[in-house]
Amino acid sequence: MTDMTRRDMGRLALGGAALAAMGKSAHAQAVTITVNGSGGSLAKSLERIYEKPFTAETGIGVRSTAPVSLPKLKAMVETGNMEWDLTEMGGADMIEAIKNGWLTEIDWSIVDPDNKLPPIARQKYGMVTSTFSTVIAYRTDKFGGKAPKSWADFWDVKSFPGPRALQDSPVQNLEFALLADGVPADKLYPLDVERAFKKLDQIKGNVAAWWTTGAQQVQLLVDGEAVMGTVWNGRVPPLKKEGKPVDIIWNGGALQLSYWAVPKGAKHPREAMLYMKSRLDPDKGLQLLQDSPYPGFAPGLIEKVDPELAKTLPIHPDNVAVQYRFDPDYWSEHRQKLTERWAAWLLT
Amino acid sequence: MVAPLLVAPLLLLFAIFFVVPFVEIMRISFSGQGGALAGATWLMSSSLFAVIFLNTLKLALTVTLICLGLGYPAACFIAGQPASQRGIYLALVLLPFWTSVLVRTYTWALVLGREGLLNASLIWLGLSDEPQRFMFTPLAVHLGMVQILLPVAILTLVGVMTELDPGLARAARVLGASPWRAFWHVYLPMTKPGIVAAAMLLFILSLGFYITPALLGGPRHRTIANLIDLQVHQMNDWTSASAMALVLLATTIVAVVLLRWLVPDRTLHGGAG
Repeated sequence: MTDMTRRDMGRLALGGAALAAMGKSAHAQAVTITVNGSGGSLAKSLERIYEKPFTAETGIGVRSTAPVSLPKLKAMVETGNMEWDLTEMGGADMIEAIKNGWLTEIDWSIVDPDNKLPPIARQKYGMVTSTFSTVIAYRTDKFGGKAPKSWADFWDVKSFPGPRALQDSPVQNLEFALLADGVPADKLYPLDVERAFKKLDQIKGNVAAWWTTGAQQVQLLVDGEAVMGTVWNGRVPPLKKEGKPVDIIWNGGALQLSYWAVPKGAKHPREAMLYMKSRLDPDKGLQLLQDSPYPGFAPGLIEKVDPELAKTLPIHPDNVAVQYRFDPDYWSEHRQKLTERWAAWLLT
Repeated sequence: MVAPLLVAPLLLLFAIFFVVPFVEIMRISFSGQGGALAGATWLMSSSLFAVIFLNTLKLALTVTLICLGLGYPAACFIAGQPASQRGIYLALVLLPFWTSVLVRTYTWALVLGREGLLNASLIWLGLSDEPQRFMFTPLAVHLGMVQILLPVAILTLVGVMTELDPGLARAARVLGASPWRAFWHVYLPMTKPGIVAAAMLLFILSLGFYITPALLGGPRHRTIANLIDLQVHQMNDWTSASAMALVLLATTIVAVVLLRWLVPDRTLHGGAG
């Protein structure tokens, strides 16, 4: 018994020493950065296309986390316990974060030393990483061969009967209501809030579900809980490939930008910016587009895209022409008040 | 000397995971951008908060009453079984109780959905021509919450009922009381501590429900917990969210005190009372 114990202790000691040595050498070699993104099925593609090659090239490990969350960023900055080195951000969140001083300035001499990015993508506190659109999606098998073409059709429950799905947020829904009511896309801002809510009153009874996540958007359509609803453009192509009867309309879509930003207090800002640089490789960008139709402004990317694929992208000229340009400034300023009004409106 | 040491780990846990966050919540709710009373002012002036708070109280109350109504006869039945068989029935109650709330809530979504089990059955039976809307209705929220909380009601009641002397109700019958009279005047009063304890637990648990109303009710049936989430995640307003959290806690305390006052402490813990 004593013998056993002694032997076990010996093993333990050896193991401990080995572990300590390993930990030490790994630490001496490299750092691991934590990159926060939207997660989901895309995480695998990102790992294959960007993260593994980046680690192989630089020795810097990449740990990815999700989801994108402004409150989490706020909490981590305020407690001085910053877990992320890099995070994705939506447009309105970006403005909020800059206003509150939660971000670190980008050192463009690291990220884009040859100054090849267009100015829209090179901002003081962030780099545009992708473009995406919130658009109408509909079930192609529910309207007897007819296809809706606009927000007016979304509101037209006589010609296109069946339950609708919208996001549980005033953001963009107020714009969509105004578009349905005939306001031209370039005259949306500042929003006529009264008119928008009045128009929304007409559709409220037909909205069966108010989604909150990307996964829900398409689930509602596939399950038949809704026959028409809003989605992010990239959610539908994979379903079409599977043969599901769904399609999207670009007309009246909301074209938006999303960003990479380095949080204040990030432990490895330099390494994070090196990773940002690796995200600008056009060939890798092309690979990613096969899985995710959310192109960024990587120099030389758009010239390489196959014309058929290009048509499914938010920044294809035909698609840009029929969408409106979402205004994050307006929403950063009014989001709080309008969200409260929205929540109260939903209760009645 | 040993006794304080025995509770020390629990007290430490309580201090770290309840007292510290609670003090922090207090601090946030009284130190908003709009001054110390910003949170309180919002609570007093927001019609959104007033409506949702009342809705939450109403929901908690109805769910509590439904659970008691359904749980009481079931508990009577189980308590009336011979001890050797009681275990089987209790296992049937415990099985769903041990399943995650999230899983049970999602299952309801599958049952109640437009192309779900319930609609498919109704159409197959010819009771309905087209799918009815069950999801995102008060019905869905109540169903989900009652199903999740029913085991709490049954287990609490069975606990009290098995402690009772079955001879007392029998004695009442022997002395000429009708079954109803024996139940009403003998059995029911003896189970009162169980009913109060169950009601207290159910009401407090219902007040804080988050996942089930969010998934089955959607934003048109928000509870206070859902509104706190909205404040933090969509409106970035932690002051109001913290103030609401304090109101929720205060409501819970009031509910506990009220019930304690209705039923003296001794009978709550004494079982047979």
